[in-house]
Amino acid sequence: MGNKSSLMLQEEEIAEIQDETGFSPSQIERLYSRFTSLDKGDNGTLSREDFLRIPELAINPLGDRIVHAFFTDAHDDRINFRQFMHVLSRFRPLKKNRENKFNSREEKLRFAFRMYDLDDDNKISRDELLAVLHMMVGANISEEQLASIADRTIMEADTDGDQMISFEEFCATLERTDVEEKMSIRFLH
Amino acid sequence: MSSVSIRTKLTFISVFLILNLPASSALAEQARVNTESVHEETPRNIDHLSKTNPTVSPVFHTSSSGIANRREQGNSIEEDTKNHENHRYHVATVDFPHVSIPYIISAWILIAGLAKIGFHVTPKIGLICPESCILIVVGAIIGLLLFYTGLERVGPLTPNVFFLYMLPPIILDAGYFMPNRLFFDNMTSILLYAVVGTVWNALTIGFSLWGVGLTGLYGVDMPLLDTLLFSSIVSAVDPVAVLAVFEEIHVNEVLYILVFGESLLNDAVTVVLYHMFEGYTEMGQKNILPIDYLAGVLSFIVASLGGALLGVVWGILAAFLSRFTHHVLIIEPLFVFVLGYLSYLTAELFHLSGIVALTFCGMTMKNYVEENISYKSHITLKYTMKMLANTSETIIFLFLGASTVNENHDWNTWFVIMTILFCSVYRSIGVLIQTWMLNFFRLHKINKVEQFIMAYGGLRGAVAFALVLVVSEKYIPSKSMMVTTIIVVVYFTVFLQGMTIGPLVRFLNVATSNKTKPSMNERLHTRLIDHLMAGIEDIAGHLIGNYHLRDKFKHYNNKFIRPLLTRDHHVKEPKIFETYSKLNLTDAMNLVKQNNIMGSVTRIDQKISLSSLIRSYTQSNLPRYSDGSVLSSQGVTSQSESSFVNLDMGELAYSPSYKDLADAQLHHILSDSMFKPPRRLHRYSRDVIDETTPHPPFHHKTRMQIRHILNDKKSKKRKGYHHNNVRNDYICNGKGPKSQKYSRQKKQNTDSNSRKTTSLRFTLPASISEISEVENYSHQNQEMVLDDDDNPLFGTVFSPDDNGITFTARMTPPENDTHKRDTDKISQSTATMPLSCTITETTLPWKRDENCTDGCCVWKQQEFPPWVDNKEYHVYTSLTNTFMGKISSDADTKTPDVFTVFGLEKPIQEDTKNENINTVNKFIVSQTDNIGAESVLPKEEDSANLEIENVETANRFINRQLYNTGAESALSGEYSFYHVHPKESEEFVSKNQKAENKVDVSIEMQDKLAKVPQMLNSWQESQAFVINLSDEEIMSERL
Repeated sequence: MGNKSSLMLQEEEIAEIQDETGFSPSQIERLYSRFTSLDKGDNGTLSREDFLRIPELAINPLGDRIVHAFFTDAHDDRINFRQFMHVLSRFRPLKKNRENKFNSREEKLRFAFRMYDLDDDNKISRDELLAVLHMMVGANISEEQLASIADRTIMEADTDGDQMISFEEFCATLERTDVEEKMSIRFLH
Repeated sequence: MSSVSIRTKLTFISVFLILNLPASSALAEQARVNTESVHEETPRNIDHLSKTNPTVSPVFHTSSSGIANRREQGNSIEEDTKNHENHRYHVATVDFPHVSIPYIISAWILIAGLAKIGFHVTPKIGLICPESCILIVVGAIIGLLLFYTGLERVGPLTPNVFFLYMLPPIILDAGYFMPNRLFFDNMTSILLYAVVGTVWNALTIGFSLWGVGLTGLYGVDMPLLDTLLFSSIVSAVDPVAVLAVFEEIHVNEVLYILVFGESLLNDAVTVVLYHMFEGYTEMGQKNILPIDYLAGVLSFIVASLGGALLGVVWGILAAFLSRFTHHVLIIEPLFVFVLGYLSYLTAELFHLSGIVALTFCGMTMKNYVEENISYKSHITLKYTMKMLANTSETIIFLFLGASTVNENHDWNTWFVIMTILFCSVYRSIGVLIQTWMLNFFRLHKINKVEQFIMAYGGLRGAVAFALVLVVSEKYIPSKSMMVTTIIVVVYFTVFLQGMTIGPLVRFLNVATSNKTKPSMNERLHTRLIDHLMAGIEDIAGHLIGNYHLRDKFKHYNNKFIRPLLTRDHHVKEPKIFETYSKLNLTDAMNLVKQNNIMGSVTRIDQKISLSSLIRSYTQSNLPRYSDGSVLSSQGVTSQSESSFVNLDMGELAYSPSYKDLADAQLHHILSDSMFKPPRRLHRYSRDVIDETTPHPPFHHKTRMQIRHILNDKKSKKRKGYHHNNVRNDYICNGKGPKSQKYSRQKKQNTDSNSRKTTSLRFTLPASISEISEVENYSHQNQEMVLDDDDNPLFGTVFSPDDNGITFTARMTPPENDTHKRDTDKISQSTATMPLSCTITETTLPWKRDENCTDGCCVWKQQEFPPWVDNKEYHVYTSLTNTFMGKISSDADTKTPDVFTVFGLEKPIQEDTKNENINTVNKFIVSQTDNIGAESVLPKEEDSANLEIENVETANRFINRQLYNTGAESALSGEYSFYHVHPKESEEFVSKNQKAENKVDVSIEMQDKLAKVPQMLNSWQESQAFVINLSDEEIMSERL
């Protein structure tokens, strides 16, 4: 598998991706093999269906949202390997003495923020929050309870009083949280 | 055995002395036979202990004598009846052996408690050394006392007492309150440290000691197996000592969980190594076959995995049982303890690791049990567990200290030095190597300082001591030397390292933990991030990623395990709800307890206005002067217990009709009888505390308690009312639509002053949706409707309906509240006003935006009092006609500047000078209701409603006025200060004071804000006039 994928991946392409994202060549090859294994149609791009075919994502309450987040920069409904890598590079652990273009704290937070902010207006509205709550908590809970949780959440974060959570407010609420660590995974070599 | 019998003989002699019985030798003989048989009956290991270990526990010691004593009493009675000797009935007898066991135990516990109190009472000790050191010292002192009083045999810390009774509570506490997530996040590291680290330590220390022993340095022959047995005991980090020290130094949680988790889990290794080497020693070095080594390795796997598995099974059982314990609410917490203890004992039964079993049992049952049991049980559980653990810990250290004083020490300097040296060195090396390996894989790299603290925090404690006592002297001749050495190592680590680790942590700047309750946002977003990361790991193809595994576990947990183990399992994310209800509870509690300071909590931004400052000031100081002197002098009820003061001018003049009063009274009666459930006769039952319904999950009902608190307050307040004819309810709400209604009521009831009622309603801007609700209660004077926009935490509304407090989150931004009289017209979207805006700031003309063209800055009066039709009055007497005419007509063109409309240069109308002051004030007030803070506008027609920018001018003006009107000393009316130094204004006011005066301090000088409260204070103390602070004033009616 590794051989095959590296054959398909041009050397200069690896170098470029490495340059852009900071992944090591072996990580890129590994992820490329993952990419191709997800790509059932063998057309070099991934569609939403390809993602949703991952069984674990199917049980993830936010599976749809996560997949959706991969397609924010895509023009059509498919993403190529480079876009795929760009999204994943946000989750590289932070290196202290290196430039962190994609995986800065802000970028990580931005990604999490986008999970809520469906309409891309840079604000989490009450409805958007409620929708996510619904997904996470499940349907068995009463509407009022969820609504009061959502209200409480907004009220807590809302400093400028527009009843929405802006990105700045979002970051402020997570000030104490070690986002750099929480939103990083160690990509296998 | 001989030593035992001698000792028992001694005991009997003492017993005879105590009982004042004749010491017949035949009797003693018989009794001795009895006790010997008793000794035969005692468990094997105790027997074994007492044979090998000269320090026999007092418990067993006295137990045998106690039993013997009873038998002997029986015997002696028989003898007595036979011999008819001169025995008389005793008035009082001392029978210590009868109570000796519990007595001694209780005494120890008492001493432990006293030592703890002493530690916390003495201020400086806590800074110098951790509690455990002090306890050991106290224990040692007690040990010395016992030693020199000849009771040195009372070596209290026996392995059995320690392992069976004192260790389990600590471990259960540790397991039950273990931060599960943190633990499993660092599971790999903890396991590596616990297993590999401990084995490494044991082997290296053992071999090194043996190697040094070959040189003959110790002067004692130390075979390899002996040193290995010893090193396996001494290598294990002790959970009790670590807990005691690390809980005091507050290092960051990762570091804490690494050291603490290691100390818990390495017990499995220690137990196995210990049993293995003990077995080998008993077999003799020559007889060991390779198969035995293999068995040793296997037994490790069995002991650790078996212990963990056993713990999980018992934990699940406990969780399952807790599903049904709500039927027996009172003993609900018991199940947790009993099942936990059983898991420990079961593990010990099979020679598995009891500590590991109990840890896992606690960790497993925790989440499910917490969901099932009631809130009260939860509290009970928590405190009982902490209490037991704390007591055990204290006693362990005391015993440790007391046990050091005995005469069986065998001090071997080189052995001690070598042990300490190797312990420190190999632990450091081990930590370094393992961390180096781990840092390849860890996201949170363990830095050098943390590594140092980890190595340094490897404290040894009572576990090692208890283990070494179990060692059989038969096979290990150098046992007493080992005991001594272990004691020295324990002292060395607990004292030297335990005392210095705190300063070191501070000196090395180790990241310390700042544990706070998660906010709703944090809880929610972290959950989202968890899901997100699990998804990313899935996509990237990490099938053993942390997030992935956790998500998978959560999924199956929700799908299969929780339905089985919990009663209420339809909620997928109990933690979110838990956080929510916890936060709500805290909010509500804060609201109830500290409502007097709310509003002033978070407002320290530059937008703070004088009025908001004073509002918070008066709020926080109200209880002081509402309970007594100042107010009572004015014939106002002094018992008005309200913590809420009317800060809104507009509401002050609310003087309801008799019908309103009757309504209110009826409402009092109704609410009194309806809020409190009818008192039922409770039959006393031991099974049930008065809690008829089982507690719902997530503790939503705790709000009921709040309601009761509120209710109590209210009833107290009401009691106050009944003593007074004058009812003082305060309604302060300037901003709701209802204020218009009030104004109407007010003017209808202007002559009902004889029985004046002011209502307090403390409603800072509430949302539109709530206003209707609030309005429903607007004439129920005793209700408190609070909504505070200043503190974002207090976004709840207490609506005083019979459903208790409902937490209604607010829907609309507070800014809109200033507009809400025009809610129909104004869209809510473009509000950008700062939160701290008071009504003055938003409605006063001179504070308005000049270019404001839409209706949001000036409100036309919507309702008009009846006198507007009265032309004569309108023209000649109404003070409001001026601005009504001007502002209303100019509103659509340009907002008039107040100074052009009402400036001081404007001539005072002569014909209104002699207007009745009362009416004037009244109309000011009624006007306020309609147009917010217009009360501050100067009404130049009356005696004097002054806006003072320059005190000199004002003085001149007043003099002129006095001259014109022929008034005596001062003018009635309002004084409003602008840009006037507080000192000056104070002088001015004191000079011109008159009972009816109002002083409006709108000093807009940021730097002098701080002085205003003092100023107010002095005014209030010296005289009784109104201080009208922009939109807020204090009880004009009291004058």
